[in-house]
Amino acid sequence: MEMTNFDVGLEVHVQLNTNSKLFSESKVDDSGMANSRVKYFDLGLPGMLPKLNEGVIEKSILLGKALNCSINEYSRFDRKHYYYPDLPLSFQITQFYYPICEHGYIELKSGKRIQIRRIHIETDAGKMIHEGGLSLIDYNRCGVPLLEVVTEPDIQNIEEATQFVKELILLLKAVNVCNCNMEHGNIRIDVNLSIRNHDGSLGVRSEIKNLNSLKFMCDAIEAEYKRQKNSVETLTQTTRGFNTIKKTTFLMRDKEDCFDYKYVPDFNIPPLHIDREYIDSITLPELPGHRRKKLSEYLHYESVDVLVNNIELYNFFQKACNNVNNRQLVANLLITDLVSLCKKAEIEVYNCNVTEEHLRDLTIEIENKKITSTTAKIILEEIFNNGKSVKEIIKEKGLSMISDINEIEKIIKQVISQNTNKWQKFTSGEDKLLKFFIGKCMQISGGKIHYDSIIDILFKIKNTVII
Amino acid sequence: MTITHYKQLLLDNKISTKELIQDLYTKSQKYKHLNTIISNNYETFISNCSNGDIPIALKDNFCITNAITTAASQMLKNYVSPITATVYDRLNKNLNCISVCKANMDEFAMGSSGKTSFFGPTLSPWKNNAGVYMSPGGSSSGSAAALASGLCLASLGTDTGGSVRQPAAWCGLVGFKPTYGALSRFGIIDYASDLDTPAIFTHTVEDCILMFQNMIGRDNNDYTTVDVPKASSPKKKVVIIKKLESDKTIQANIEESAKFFEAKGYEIKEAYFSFIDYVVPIYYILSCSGASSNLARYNGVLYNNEVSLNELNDIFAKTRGEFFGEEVQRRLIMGNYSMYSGHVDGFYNKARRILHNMWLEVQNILKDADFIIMPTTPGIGMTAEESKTDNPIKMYLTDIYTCFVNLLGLPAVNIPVELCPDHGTPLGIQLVANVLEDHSLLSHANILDKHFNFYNKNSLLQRKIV
Repeated sequence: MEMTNFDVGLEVHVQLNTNSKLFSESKVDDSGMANSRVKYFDLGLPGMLPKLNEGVIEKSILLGKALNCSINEYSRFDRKHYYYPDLPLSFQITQFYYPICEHGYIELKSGKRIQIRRIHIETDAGKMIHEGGLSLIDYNRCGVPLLEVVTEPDIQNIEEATQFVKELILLLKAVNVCNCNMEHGNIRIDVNLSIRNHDGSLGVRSEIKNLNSLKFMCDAIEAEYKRQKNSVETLTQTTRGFNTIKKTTFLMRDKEDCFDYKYVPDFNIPPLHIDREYIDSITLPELPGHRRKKLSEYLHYESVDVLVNNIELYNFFQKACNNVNNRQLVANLLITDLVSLCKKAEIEVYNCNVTEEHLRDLTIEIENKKITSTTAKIILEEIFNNGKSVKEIIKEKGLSMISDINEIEKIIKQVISQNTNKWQKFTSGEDKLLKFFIGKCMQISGGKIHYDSIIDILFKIKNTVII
Repeated sequence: MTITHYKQLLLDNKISTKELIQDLYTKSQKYKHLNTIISNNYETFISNCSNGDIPIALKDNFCITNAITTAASQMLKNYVSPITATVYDRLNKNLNCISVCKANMDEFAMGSSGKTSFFGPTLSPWKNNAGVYMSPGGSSSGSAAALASGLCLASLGTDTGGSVRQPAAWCGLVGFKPTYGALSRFGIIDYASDLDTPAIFTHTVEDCILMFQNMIGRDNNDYTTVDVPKASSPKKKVVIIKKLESDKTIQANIEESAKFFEAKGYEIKEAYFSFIDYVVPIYYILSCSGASSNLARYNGVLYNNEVSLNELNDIFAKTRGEFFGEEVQRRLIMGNYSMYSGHVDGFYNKARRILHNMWLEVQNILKDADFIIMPTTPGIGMTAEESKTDNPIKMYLTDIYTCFVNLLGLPAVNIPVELCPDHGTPLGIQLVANVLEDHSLLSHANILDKHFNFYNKNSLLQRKIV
């Protein structure tokens, strides 16, 4: 089914990677037995009061700036009331009336901007597990700091939704505010979807809650679009869950059951007054968008993508480019060759025998026409398996490039004489046989002739013959 | 006996702490019928006290470790807190105070007579001239009655709308409510977070000053605490509020107090409260909303998980319906109602907007004055029977002169002045100062307290009636 004329807004809940929770000194980490990361305030014991973790403010401002938001000097915490066993206080502490950041955007690769309505700070709730006929509650997650990033309904297809989330994750990693492990629940997405009315206005929306993978988000968008499109009854505003097995959305509550959260300020936490000077003093590291632009000036877009999406590879690349002229060569060696070697051996690039210096040395040798790209790959594999320096291996294995024209001619003539039939065809105009002859030359010479030299001399011979 | 007197006796070796606690214990047995105490530690302390310890009572919404804190509710009847309230911890460390008993109170501090307690109402040790028991007032009913009967030397309560000043007035005690934030609320069971104030009952203002100084200071566990600055020099002006209806004896004492300060060179200014007619509804809207929020946690999951049903909402509703008393339920419903999105603007938000105007008006009155002298309560007190009235509004209205103080976070103190000539029961008047002027307020109150000298002339203890 083609999906058109619909609007999606996302609410992305991001767990911050602070040491402690938002309002108590409990440790925040994914490990630990159930109910081992709980302090009295998280449990809502009477007489316990919240203590603000100021590290959360800095991280909120970092993310706000990375998303081009304006940072509010005044913001405040409110209580959102509802009853559920995993919510000991029976209210969540959030920022309903005065969020810390507003009016930002994320620019997708296509150039389209998805507007950010607001970013606010709130507490996470506990977890309920249903097992053996019992409902079990783990309060470890109660009180973990969350940032909720709310977009305008600017997303108009699944591809944009995916790009948005991927770009958001890159930004989160760049400013280091979240561990970004979706399997651990570090990022959870709520999807709001509506199909346009005939007059072009926004339709009635439904909210699908708690999607914790990109795939589920995409499937849920598709499933909900289908449901709304095929609905015979008038659509009403509903809150829904997503059944990952059936790939359908199901009703959780509708407008009638709509819970009134009775938002009021939380008086135990004085309002935040943040200095403009402090806000201005928080500097951003290099962001993916900027990095992308910069790399695109001298790298192929596929290389740019890989490096922007992987911080470790990017750092490796940067170091390896020291004193190098042709950075694309470095990128190729790294991304095409080294990465696949590492994948096969199941180790990380920064853990293998090949260092940034090795890549740099290899590249310089190619630039200086001491070796060819083909031999570089051989050398790389040798370093990967046995260590040693580039120069050592070139010497040991005699991999220096053959630059003597006479020698190259000799090799080419040898190939021609061994393949007279094909040579005939080539000189008669079957240009596609060029590849064959280059391949053979490479084979015989052990890859030590530069690709350009082969072509030059091959055509010289071909043309000379004709003449 | 007052703390000051007790310390003198200790110095003179005329008393030992052990003897004192023994006496207090005996008295607590004798006055058991007043139902002032929920749980007590007298016997433990008789064997385990140090000489110099000061026995005090704590309202049963102050948490202590290794003790049950109930807030006089069935919901918390077995609750043992893992933490101790900061203010008691400080009194214990700085002044050697020991909590000999947990005093009865209105359930979750909601009430003005003590009658909403799950453990039954408290009687005042005071009887009127007809021999009928009076109500001690509330919600710190037990803290007031226990002190007035001599079961401790001082007591702590909480004052959210007048819950220490009103019972102080009805029991002939000093009841001091500091500036909001001057004393830490950590470890005190929450009612309305923006109004709750730990507060002090003593026989004299002198004792109160001693207690207060050993409790103040910012607390890292309570982000709403502030440091109280030293007393500024007096502005030498007091304010009388006109058109506040109250008993004629109370009025007379207010006038006497004004004249007393006038004789000391103070100027007397007159002012009016334009908001006095709406202060009770505003107070109840805001405090009930606060309660609805703070009591939402008691839902049968962590507390009182005795109700076993299939639907979650049924568990929540049944637990709360069964384990909260009638007055608490009434206030929770009022609070919920005020906050619902359909009427939040007409009730909750409107109340907050008016509050802003009230603040400006009172700032204007107090900006160049030391304090206001006014009634603590409109009436002279109720008998225990009268307080059992079916009409909750009647009880709410006893807060009319105290609740604006909480709404604006001001410090205020009730000073006992004399006995009502018609009934023989105590009367008090209220001094109210501007925020953070606690020390100046107490020092003025001290002078006035010494002038009226209620404790020596009229208290049940000095007259050996208890």
